[in-house]
Amino acid sequence: MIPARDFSTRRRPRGRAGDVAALVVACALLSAAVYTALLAWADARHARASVDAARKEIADANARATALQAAAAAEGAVGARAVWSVEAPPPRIVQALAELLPRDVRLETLNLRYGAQLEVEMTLTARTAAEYDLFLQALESSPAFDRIILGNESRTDAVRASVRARYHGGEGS
Amino acid sequence: MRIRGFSRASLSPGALQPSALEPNVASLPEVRDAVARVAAELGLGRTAVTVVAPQGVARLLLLELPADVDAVEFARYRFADLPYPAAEAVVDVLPVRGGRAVAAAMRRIVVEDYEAVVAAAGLEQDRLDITSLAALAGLLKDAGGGELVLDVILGDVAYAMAAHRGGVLSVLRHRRRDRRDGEPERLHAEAERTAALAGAPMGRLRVVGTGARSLLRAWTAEGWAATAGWEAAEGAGVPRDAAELPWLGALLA
Repeated sequence: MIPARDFSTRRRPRGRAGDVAALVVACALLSAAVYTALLAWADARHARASVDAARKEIADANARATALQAAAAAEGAVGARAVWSVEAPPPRIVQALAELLPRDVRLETLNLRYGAQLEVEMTLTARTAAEYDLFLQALESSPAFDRIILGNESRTDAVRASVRARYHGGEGS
Repeated sequence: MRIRGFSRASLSPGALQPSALEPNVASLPEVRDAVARVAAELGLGRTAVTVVAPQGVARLLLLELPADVDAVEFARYRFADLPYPAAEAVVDVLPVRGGRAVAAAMRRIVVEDYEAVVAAAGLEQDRLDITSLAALAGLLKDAGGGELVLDVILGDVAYAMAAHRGGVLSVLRHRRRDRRDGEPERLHAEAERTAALAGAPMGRLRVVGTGARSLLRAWTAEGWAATAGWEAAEGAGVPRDAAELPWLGALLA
């Protein structure tokens, strides 16, 4: 039986019809669509803006980490969150990632979730799919990260993708 | 399972252009007429149809679901970086083993484009599904024997690769196809990278979708082992190579 997955804009109540007709809409087999749209590669101005934005995010994350530490200390209980923020402050994560980035892969955004574990969520832009894959290989083999989950991945000639991973500082888990 | 009827109509190049962002139907009269012709040949009458949109029209995401969280709501939350407003996304999920789900987001104007074709052709729509999820649902039914299974789902303009073991999906990738020379080699390298990301040597490599058979031939010629994701038995009612029809997965699930 076909499962009830439905992307209709107006979902209908499910019946239990014996017959199901599947209408598959696809390109004609001989009409290979050629996508020639090129992702314009960031110019120097864009690159500088990206770096500035990343720095601001790091500064914001630092401020949040400091606030969390202060709050934990004030409560007299240093929980896992505060421990992580001490052992793995944002600059250390950025440094760990920077060592894995091939030349043509750029870190666009970075979100750090401090909890019992430190979850790292990032979006990246790569000039080519091969460069992006090099980064993934490096991330996969890095002792500092594990539990890698690939997120959205879009590609024309360049790749823009999101990745989640757990940072554990290289001691294994 | 036996398919009672199968019909197919070709479209001229450019009549339908799968895209996740823009309306896909470039020539409504042509696509509408083709759909109506297929429906008439099958004698569908008032049978409600499930519309299966092609690959490349949706964002896909593999999710680890937190306990006691609605999968679709969580998917909406995780689709935070869509290149269009979140309110325009139609989201649904394919639950898979291991507390995970494959979520997909389609832009509303893209969904409406396909729905408009069905309505214009005088058909009643039941559901609207996505080829990648339909294929994956069927492929995951055959979980293999503990080895890593890597499935390649080919569409006209995009493809997906899914690595799973024991039915637990660990890596899902979704990319635009590059059908220029060397595609078989590129896809095989991509498959090996995907297996590496899954953290296990590749056990079985399976292919379904547009050009599956020619890809398998090319890989065989290189000495790379791979099989079709499924085959049609004699008399199954599928007149074409079943491996070329990824949406059959929805019927197998």
